[in-house]
Amino acid sequence: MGGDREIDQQLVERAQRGDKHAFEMLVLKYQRKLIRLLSRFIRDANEVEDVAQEAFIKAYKALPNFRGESAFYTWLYRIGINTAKNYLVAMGRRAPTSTDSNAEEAEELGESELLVDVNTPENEMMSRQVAKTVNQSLEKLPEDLRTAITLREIEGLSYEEIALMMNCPIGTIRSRIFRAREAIATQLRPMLDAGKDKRW
Amino acid sequence: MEKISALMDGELKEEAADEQISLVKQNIEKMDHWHLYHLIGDTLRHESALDQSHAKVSIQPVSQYSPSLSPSPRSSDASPLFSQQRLPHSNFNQRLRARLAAEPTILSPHPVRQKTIERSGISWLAPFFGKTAFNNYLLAAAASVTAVAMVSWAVLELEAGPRPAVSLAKKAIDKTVPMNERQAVIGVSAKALTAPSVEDPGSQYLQEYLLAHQGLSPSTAIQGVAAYVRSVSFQGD
Repeated sequence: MGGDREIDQQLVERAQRGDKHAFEMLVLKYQRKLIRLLSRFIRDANEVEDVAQEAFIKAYKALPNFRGESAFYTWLYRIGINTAKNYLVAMGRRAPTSTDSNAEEAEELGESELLVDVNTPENEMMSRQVAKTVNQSLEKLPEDLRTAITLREIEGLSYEEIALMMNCPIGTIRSRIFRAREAIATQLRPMLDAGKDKRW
Repeated sequence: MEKISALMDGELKEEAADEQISLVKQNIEKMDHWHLYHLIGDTLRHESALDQSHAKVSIQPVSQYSPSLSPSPRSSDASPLFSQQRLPHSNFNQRLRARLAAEPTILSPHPVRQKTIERSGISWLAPFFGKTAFNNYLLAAAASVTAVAMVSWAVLELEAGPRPAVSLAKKAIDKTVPMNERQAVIGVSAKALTAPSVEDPGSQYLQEYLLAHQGLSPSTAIQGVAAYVRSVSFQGD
């Protein structure tokens, strides 16, 4: 398959055929990214989540119009931005003027330029714990697993490219990435189960 | 769960991916893994972005990642910047799921996939049009070609209709009728074939032949069937 976009397209097509679970998988995949993006425009954490929910519902309703001409997230991004602008206007607040920027560019900015704290104290603590646990688990991984997952998640390389870099078969890479994820997930799970978030 | 991991990386073949998606939606545990693996990926990417942002702010050279590099020194502590990773509130998913459930199910036509165009070998034409326009042109062109083919076939069929019977008759005469008689039967004009003379000795062969092959006559709508059709009647008590 052709990576992220292809799997998204497959999920979208399923959702277009009436499979709501496929759309739920897209929600689980993109909720944090969308929330981070919306946090650039709306400060209050609860409001951000309300707008994110509204954006997801709007996206679901508009799915018949999505024809895969752009990546799903780019399309979702536009819906998110418009929803946020409409929300701010409805609340009598001024919408930011810099929302016309390129989706991919804004996506990158969303990762790094979010230097204001929009978390509630509860969420902030949970976020810290998640980050700490992920990093500690990553450090404890054997080097081959750590390298494989880092090349995949941070560098965004395909299995084939990682296999070439690490000089081993693609099947081995697939297994290493899975084992790395599973090791980190094992550490995360008790913490998330203990919290209120039952994930899904 | 290894397949879920490969699925989220887009490293499964289409059929296998489709199968896994079906399994995920049926199995809450698999859905949970889908969610957790994405959370891990988002956290790692977010931290990486913050690392770069932090490096920019402090005007330090940004160290490029190398596979043998261990995680950055500040990655394990919970610095204030980690709080920028926005996790949804505890009930975000439940609320959204309830709202989705309340929405009417979407049933929209299956869109033309880009892959289909790529497979067709004419994707090089796409840049000359918009992608949507290209898809529309592609469908319109296919419909036009089909329509022209159907009309052409119908016209050719009408024009070529009588020929098989004539040629069959001619073949039969070639085999059975002597040359001198054949000229009398076929002659140069078609008149001899369409209105054979009773007195003509060759016409008997022709009459017999045409009678035997009446079922192949183009005068019947469905050639070759008429000869096998039998009238059936039913009389009740």
